[in-house]
Amino acid sequence: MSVMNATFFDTDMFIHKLSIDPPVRRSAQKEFIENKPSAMSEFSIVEFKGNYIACLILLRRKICDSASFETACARILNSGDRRAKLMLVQLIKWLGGFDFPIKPWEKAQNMLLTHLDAQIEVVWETFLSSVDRIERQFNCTRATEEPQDNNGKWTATIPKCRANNANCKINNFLINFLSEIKLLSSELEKLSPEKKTKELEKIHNISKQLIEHNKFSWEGSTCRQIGDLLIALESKSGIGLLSSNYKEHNILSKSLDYNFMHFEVVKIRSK
Amino acid sequence: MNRIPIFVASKDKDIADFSAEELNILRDATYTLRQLRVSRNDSKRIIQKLLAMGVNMTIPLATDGISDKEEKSLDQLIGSLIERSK
Repeated sequence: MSVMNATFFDTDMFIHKLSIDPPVRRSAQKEFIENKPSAMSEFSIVEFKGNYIACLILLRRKICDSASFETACARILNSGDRRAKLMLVQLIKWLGGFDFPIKPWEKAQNMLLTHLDAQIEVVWETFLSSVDRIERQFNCTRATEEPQDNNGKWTATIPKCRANNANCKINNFLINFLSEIKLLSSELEKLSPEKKTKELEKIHNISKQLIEHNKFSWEGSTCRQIGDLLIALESKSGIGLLSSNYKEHNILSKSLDYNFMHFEVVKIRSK
Repeated sequence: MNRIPIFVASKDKDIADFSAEELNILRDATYTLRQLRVSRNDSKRIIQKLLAMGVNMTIPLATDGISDKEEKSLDQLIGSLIERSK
């Protein structure tokens, strides 16, 4: 399949497909059906694993290690991850809500763990097969690593990149777009502080370093700080990028010259 | 080894709604998932075949951007379950 006529989907679009809000979920699903051929950046794999899948795994671990439902809830709340708490309640709601048999805990725990194990595997496979093509222009090593299941002990760790564990072409990839990145950097310089999100700030700082040294310092987790930029640059090979991240892509698309298609979540919710 | 994925492929459907190829996939899935333990490779293979059939096995659990009203109702549910679990 040629990627030239493909619509790229940003990572958030896969998460909207799993939204608990039916109108958002249905609208996202419709976009995947109607925009064919479809593609995604390899970096979306890293983001999705570190976001939705990592949250499912965190939830699974807290439930597995807890002696009661109360303890499980307390551990999840103490972890500070509001999403994990809401995910647990949503799962219980889906399994019967107020009628969910929470006692005895061992039985409820097994039921929750079975569904979470299944979801980790099913969601991962569904995610990978939801587009016609995965664009791999810089062969990200982290994007080849699946969540690992060691006898029920799942991990979705994203290792920091080092010379002995990464074999990608990210430096060449970014250097090939140096003129676009220079233009972006000068535009970000002029951007008012209220429009400069944390993500754009990171992109600006890393772009300046890249321009100054003519080299991308990829060691560690630098790429994860510029995910929007990497996804935007890979999507330039298609007909556009569909995303709900307006604040970032509205700015990036002007300098990097790609077609940003806005998935308007607020508008969908207000209908 | 992996736990068995839960799925409902035949919901609201009659046997005549499936092609011979799809019935073969469901037979294979049923046979595989009846085993006491299923390897990761086997569960992955079955999931991929069912996905190719268009079976949606995901549970919508993404709570990004939910309204305060919705969050409040989920908090009420968790509060009630904590009370019942004591």
